[in-house]
Amino acid sequence: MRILKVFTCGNVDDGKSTLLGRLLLDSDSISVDILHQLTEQGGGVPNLALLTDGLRAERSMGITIDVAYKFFTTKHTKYILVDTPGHQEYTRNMYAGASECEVAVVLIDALKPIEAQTRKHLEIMETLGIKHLIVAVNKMDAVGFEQAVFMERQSEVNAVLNPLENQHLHWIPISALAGENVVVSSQAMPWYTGPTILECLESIPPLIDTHSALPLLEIQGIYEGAAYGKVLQGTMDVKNTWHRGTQSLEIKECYVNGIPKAVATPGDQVTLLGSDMPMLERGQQWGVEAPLQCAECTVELCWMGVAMEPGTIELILRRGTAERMARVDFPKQINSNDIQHLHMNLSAPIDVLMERITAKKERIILIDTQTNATVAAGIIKSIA
Amino acid sequence: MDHLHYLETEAIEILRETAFQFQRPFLLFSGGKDSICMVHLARLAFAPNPIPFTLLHIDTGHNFTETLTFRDELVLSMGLSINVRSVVEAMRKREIPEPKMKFPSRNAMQSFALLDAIQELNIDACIGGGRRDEDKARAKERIFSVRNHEGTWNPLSQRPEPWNMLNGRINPGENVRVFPLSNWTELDVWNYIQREQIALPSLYFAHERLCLELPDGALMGYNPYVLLESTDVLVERSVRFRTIGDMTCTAAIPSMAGSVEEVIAELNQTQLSERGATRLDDRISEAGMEDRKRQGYF
Ligand SMILES: Nc1nc2c(ncn2[C@@H]2O[C@H](COP(=O)(O)OP(=O)(O)O)[C@@H](O)[C@H]2O)c(=O)[nH]1
Repeated sequence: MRILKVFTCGNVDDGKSTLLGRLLLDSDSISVDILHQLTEQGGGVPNLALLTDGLRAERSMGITIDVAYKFFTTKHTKYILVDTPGHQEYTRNMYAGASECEVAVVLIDALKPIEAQTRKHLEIMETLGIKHLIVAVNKMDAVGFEQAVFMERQSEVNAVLNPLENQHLHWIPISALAGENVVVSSQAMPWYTGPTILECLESIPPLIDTHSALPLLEIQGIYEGAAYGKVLQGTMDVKNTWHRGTQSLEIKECYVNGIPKAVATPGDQVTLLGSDMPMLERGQQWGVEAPLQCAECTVELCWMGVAMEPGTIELILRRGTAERMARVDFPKQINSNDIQHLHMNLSAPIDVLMERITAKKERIILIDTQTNATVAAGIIKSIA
Repeated sequence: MDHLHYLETEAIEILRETAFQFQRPFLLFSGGKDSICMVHLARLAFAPNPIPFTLLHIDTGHNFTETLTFRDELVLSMGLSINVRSVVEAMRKREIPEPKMKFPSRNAMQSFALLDAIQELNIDACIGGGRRDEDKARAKERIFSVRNHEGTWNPLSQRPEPWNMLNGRINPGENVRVFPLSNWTELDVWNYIQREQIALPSLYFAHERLCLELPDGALMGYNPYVLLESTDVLVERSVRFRTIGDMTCTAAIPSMAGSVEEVIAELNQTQLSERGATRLDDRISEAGMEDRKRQGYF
């Protein structure tokens, strides 16, 4: 069984929670005791939206505040659903929730023209480079299942969307409430012959991993003379010679997820043994080709902390396991949930690969030195 | 990527991040399947070196003997070290009376023993077996979940974890709860147990047990702490446990599943959620888990 991370976003009241509930219900993923509870709360019919609104504050406000994770499986796929909030003030949660997903379902309300917040959602999808974008026009039942309305929304979105070259766009008219085109094909919209949302998800090919890329390791730490690390990309062979700056590294023995093996694939957790290990340090990258040193970079950031006045401040930068102090320049005020390009100088260089920057894979978070809160996340765009 | 490989890799990375970001991390061990899986994952994470965590068992004094025997054997065979903290002692210290009810549960009181342990042992990270599929509040909790000096979880100011970048920086007095199994479901755990051939306490498999049959059909394994009433009926049934909590408040389920394969087949058929099926204490309030977590619970 493969794994697919899907996230849903939409404006408040566009029907995101209802859609998730519908997806779980129609794929038989809700247990009877929970269904019973939802049915009681819905006064006879299951109140699907309540399935994901887990926190007390959300129940009392009737909205979704934070990221919630739900799971369901079909024959071939384990789905991790990331339900993210639609409110402008929670954009940061959306950015974080979406960051790890391969597919995004953006919900649009058939009843009203698209709003500023939907533009923001689409902007974030582009920023994060999410591969598959399913734009679902919801509440089609409320507009008489009219194709014209669907096309109207479509042209509004197309006017603001600049999908990246490798982003795929899928359009689906649905009714989350009635369950049309979510799991089951709609009889009410004969003009639409495409897949339902679930069919579309099922047909998304497995993520193209980076087996063929240049092998690259990241060091997590040293313990009892062994180095612990992760294969960031490429296929690692214990026989490879690894480089960093002018240094080179030979590995004598390797464990992959705890088992002695000679070869590891991207994402694998490795233990490295050999006499060179003591020179390794947490945060280093070692490649079959030596990585570059980056002491200055521009990052496309989603700001998650409180509003900041223009100026320069010191924050802790984290890239994978590497940590540095970063002097970040704020040319203008930045508010929570804003996305801006910011320039920063690091206290010491970090290792990066140019091809990973091009592929939007060098990602960072920024941490406040006083509160230790994560105040920003972003993708390195360019290095100096 | 195969889903079990993905989940295993993710858990190992979380365990390693915990070891490398904290000074005094402990692994909360209840003797249940989730914590047994975590010990297995911790072994894989640091192989061939020993697990760099001490286990911490918050002991309610209401454990099944099978759980305790299993715990002691596991600790011995794997050369682990364990710290056992008594809930009864923490209650005595606070002059909290024993709960007086038909099925007297000390579950909610585990928080006190845990908070005492965190303070006295200077623990900065507690690795727990919580899964997001267990409960609506858990579904929202981060992998590194920061607690303040009182152990309180504030769900509205959680740190975002983009790209699973885990920020374990804390100020003195704070601690972090770590959940390596966040993205596992009950079925994932069982499939992993099958794949890795992990041994479990016999309670998880069908066995004959003297049970109390409740009016709604639930079966409670009979034990000396239950306050029997004259109308109660004791019956002998083939049952197993889906979760192993306090023996006083964990219901058994009728089952014939005697092996891991049979349990998986049974779970594929079942209609009830794990907690709904077995935990009396969680049926009480919809916000039960959130409230408990806010007060320092696992
Ligand atoms: N007519 C209609 N109403 C819907 C549909 N989906 C959701 N709604 C309603 O829209 C409202 C908001 O839905 P909810 O799922 O809570 O939206 P969220 O804020 O995006 O999570 C609720 O009253 C739903 O019943 C749909 O397909 N058709």
